[in-house]
Amino acid sequence: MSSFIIETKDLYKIYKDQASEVHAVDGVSLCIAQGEFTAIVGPSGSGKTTLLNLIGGLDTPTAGSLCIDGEDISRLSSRELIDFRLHHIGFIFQSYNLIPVLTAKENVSFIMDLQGRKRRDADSRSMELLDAVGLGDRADSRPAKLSGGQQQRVAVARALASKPRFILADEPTANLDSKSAANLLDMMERLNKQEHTTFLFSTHDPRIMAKARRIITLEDGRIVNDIVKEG
Amino acid sequence: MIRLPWRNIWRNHRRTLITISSVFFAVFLSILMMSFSNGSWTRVIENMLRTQTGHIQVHLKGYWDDPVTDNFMEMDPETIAQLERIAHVVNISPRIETFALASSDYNVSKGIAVTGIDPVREEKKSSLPQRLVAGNYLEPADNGVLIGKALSEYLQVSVGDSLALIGQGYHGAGAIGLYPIRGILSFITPEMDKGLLYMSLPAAQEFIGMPNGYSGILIAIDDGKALEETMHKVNESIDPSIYETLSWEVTMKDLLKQAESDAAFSKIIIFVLYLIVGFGILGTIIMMTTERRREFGMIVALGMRRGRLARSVATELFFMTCIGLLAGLAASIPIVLYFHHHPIPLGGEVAVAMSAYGMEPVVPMDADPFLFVSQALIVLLITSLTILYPVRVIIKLEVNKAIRS
Repeated sequence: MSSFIIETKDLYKIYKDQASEVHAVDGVSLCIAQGEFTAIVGPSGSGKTTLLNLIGGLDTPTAGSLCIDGEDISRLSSRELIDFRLHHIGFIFQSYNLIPVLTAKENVSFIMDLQGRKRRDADSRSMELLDAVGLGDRADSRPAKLSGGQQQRVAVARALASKPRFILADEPTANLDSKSAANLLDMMERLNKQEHTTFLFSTHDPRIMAKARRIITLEDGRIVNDIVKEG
Repeated sequence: MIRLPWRNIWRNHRRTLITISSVFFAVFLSILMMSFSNGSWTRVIENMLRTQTGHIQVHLKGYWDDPVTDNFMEMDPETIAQLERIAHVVNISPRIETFALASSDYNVSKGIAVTGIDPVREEKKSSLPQRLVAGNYLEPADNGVLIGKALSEYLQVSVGDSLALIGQGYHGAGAIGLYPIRGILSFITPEMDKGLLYMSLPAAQEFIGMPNGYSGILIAIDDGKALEETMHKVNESIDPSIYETLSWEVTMKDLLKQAESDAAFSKIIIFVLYLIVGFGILGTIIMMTTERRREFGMIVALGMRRGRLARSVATELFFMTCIGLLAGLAASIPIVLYFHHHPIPLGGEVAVAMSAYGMEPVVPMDADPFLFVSQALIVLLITSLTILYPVRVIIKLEVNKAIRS
């Protein structure tokens, strides 16, 4: 079995219309190991988000193989993919995307409810995670009562709740002010170092690029650079 | 997972209020309309059957298709008494209905309908004695007659004068007789007022030359729902090879058709109401689905199965529907029950006409539990159909596009 938790080989995503073909992801092969803190960067339209969607099982590749923990998820049915995401992948979206009618704690425990975990376990873990992201005192607040930075911290706690193999973060700082963004990044870096949580970012943000230990640059759907920082 | 749908209901108060109000008004208005429509027709029909035509009629086989004197029947008093003892039977009315030419001393004559009645039985069930405007009601074996006011004016006769009747007797015999006028009746319907003559049953039997002969026996019952059961028992008491038993649905086909066409009209109006309400609810649901498309995408991305999410959204709508349904039932049931026990009084010509036919001029509302249940179920079905829209959207959702929508 492969030691990588994410492994793609000649991965393609091609959008076709009557007149043309767009290769959003054009033969990408990459491997991500446990504990990486990696940023996928590139200009708009370079295929970052499409690649992240493919890895996250939100989209299906046109060709190529895509293995998560050794399992080729491109062969899974829609329903199997949903279950796979629930147990293996954490998501942090650009626009926080919390459920507005649930409190911070309920948003975090939502994933564990879906997994069928006991309510008491889910509650205590939700509180642990909220404490870890510095929002233990806002557990009963609904998203509308939280700032953008606080909402994104709740989203990080939610992404960690299912104990996923890795977390996909699509432009997580895009809607945050610089202070909130810096705090969020520090927190994610800490989680990565202390808990060995694997993070894979899609970003334009130079602050993420500065913290990332590996930077993969995409252009026109292809990897044009893959740098692992020293130390 | 009740928490999520329950909280979502209160997320947009205005939308929730519109949906619940739509369901409420649909249930409330449809129940009131149907209750009023059913109540008024049930009352009219019941009154008509009890006082005039009877719920069941017994004739000689073939009489209904060919109502001539030769198809009159004979029935012994014991069988008639036996019919009277059947459960739910409240009145037995043996009759003779035939036609004759009526002439007065002034050489004026007119074709009229002759009805032979048992004056005592008729007095118990109909308003005939109350229609008297001159003279007296018939005695049990009276040899006099009662006629309509318009007929008396046409024939230029009054109480105490005599009328000559010429008609068709049993088995080709001539029916001729001279009858003193006992009383003058007043009918609202001009056709009845100028074309009806009542005489006692013995006098009518003698007139057609058929002692113990009847054109038919009218049977009134106390509960319309017991019609089938009573007809069955009537058939057991008579010889079905000689007699035919007809329900009011056959003998009063025209009235039934009128009631049915009125009910159909009410149903069309209620159908339009359902359409308006259905589209109103669908509108709010489409709005809700569009607003929450990204949220649906996010929830599926996080790992909630589409079926579970669809059930959650359906539960939201079910909650709202139930609130509207219960509110609609809670508001309509007391009103219907009140007007069921305290019928709405009618005024004007309708009231006069109903009174003239021996009916109380009031319209009660129908409080049949089936009416409440059926209307609630129909509204539930309509909202269930609107639920199909968000369910379809969720099933067809492209998660990656929805998240960015």
